[in-house]
This record gives sequence, structure tokens and C-alpha cells, in this order.
Amino acid sequence: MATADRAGLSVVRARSTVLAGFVALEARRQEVNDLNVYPVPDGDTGTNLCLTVRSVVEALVGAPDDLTPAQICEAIANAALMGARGNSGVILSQMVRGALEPFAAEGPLTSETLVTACRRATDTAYRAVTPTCPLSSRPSSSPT
Amino acid sequence: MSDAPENEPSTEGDPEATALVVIADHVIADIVGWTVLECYGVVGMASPNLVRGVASLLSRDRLHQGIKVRQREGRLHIELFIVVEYGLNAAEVAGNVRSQVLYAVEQVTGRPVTDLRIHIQGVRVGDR
Repeated sequence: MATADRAGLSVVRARSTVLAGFVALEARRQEVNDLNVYPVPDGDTGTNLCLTVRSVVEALVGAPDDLTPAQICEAIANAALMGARGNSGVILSQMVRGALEPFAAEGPLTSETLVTACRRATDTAYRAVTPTCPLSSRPSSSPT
Repeated sequence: MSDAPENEPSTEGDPEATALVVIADHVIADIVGWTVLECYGVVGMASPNLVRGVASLLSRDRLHQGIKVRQREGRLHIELFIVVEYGLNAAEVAGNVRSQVLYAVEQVTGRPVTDLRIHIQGVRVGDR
């Protein structure tokens, strides 16, 4: 299936990727809930993350198969934004938005696409953080 | 702030003894201010009054200007004026602020918040 790897982002690929992530997250939902102690220890982090990702799954399931990569990214980012639940969901929606940037372009997906996606995810997530301590600085992801 | 008489220390252990702890409004405002700044998506606090229709961010030492605290007959009312980062689910950010403030205030003061109002006073687009 070498041809498939040369292809860019497609709805079919996005759907199966997000669905696999959702299933994996759902399986460990309780484990994540139990980790939740900050900022409010109400034990709903796993549930909030699942609800946020589920919103993306639903958007992709309902999307037509012939969307362009840019349209797919738009649909995913929008679903994550509107479906964001709780603190973790809001943060995840920002990471998703950042990570999608390199995927919007037509063309093959390479390991560099993935590296750029991770960097954009970090940068976008940190943009909405207010440094409360003068010594705290956000990690720079620009140098290689 | 309080007109309670000075308590004698000898009442220690007496179940009939009453102790009155008064937490000043500005102390609660400080707790709220720092909690709000720690909330993801909140860029800062803003003044309730817009300057020429624009919300300006308050500096760290003037956070209390964006927080109104009112204590009356054991009830605690808080009103907040925040600025949120553009591109986030603002309703959800406000919901997170709500739960974090309710939790922090009760945790620190031991008193539940009766009424909390959150005003999204502005949105920050781009970096600073």
C-alpha cells in the first residue's frame, strides 16, 4: 500500500485514525479519571477528554468522503473546539488545532509532518497560558 | 471591620465559646484573582468599565479591580471580569473558571460561594 502513504490526508484515513485514538482513550477513561487531582479534584478528566474526542469522531463520521485536507482539518478543529469539555478538553482542542496545521497542505505525509504537528500543538496550547510566576517560562519548541 | 469584643484566651476548650473569623473582601478577591489567572484560556482580568469600548488588561498588582466581592448575612457574592484568548470555547473556559473559583474559595476560606458571575470582558487576538 505504498500509494496510500504517498497520498495526503483523506477523510477515510482521518476517520480511522481518530476512531482508533478514541477507542484507546475510552478503554483507559477510568484510569485517567483517577489521576485527576488538579485544579479541581472532581475526577472527570478522562470523561471530558473522551467527550471532546467523541465530538471529533462524530464530525468525521458525518463528513462526506471527498473533502480536501484543508476542509478535513477545519472540520476536526471545529469539532474539537465546539465539543471541548472541561479544562482538559479545552487544552486538547488547542493542541488539535495546532497539530492540524501541517496536515492541511496537499501532498504526502512524512515523518517531518508529524514532528511539525507536535511542535505546533505545543505552541498553540501554550499560547493560552498566562504565566503566573515571573520565573516560569514556556518551553521553546523552535530549536531542533 | 468587626465590632466583636476581644476574646479572652481562657475560653479554650469551652464548647459554649464563640470565635468570629472575619475574612476581608480584598483577601477573597486576591484568592479569586490568582485562581483565575491559573485557569487555562484566561489571559487576565479586566476592569468592569470599558475605556472607549475596549477592555484593557489589568496588571498583576491591580487584579482586584476586576473582581467584586460582597459579603452580607453569611452570603458571599463574587463578580469577575476576565479576558479570554481568542479561538477557544469561551463558554467552556468560563465554566472552568467557575468550578476552579468555587473550589479554591471554599478550600481556602471554608465558606461556599453563594453567587458567582463571570463577565467575559474581552478577547485577546494574537500575541500580546
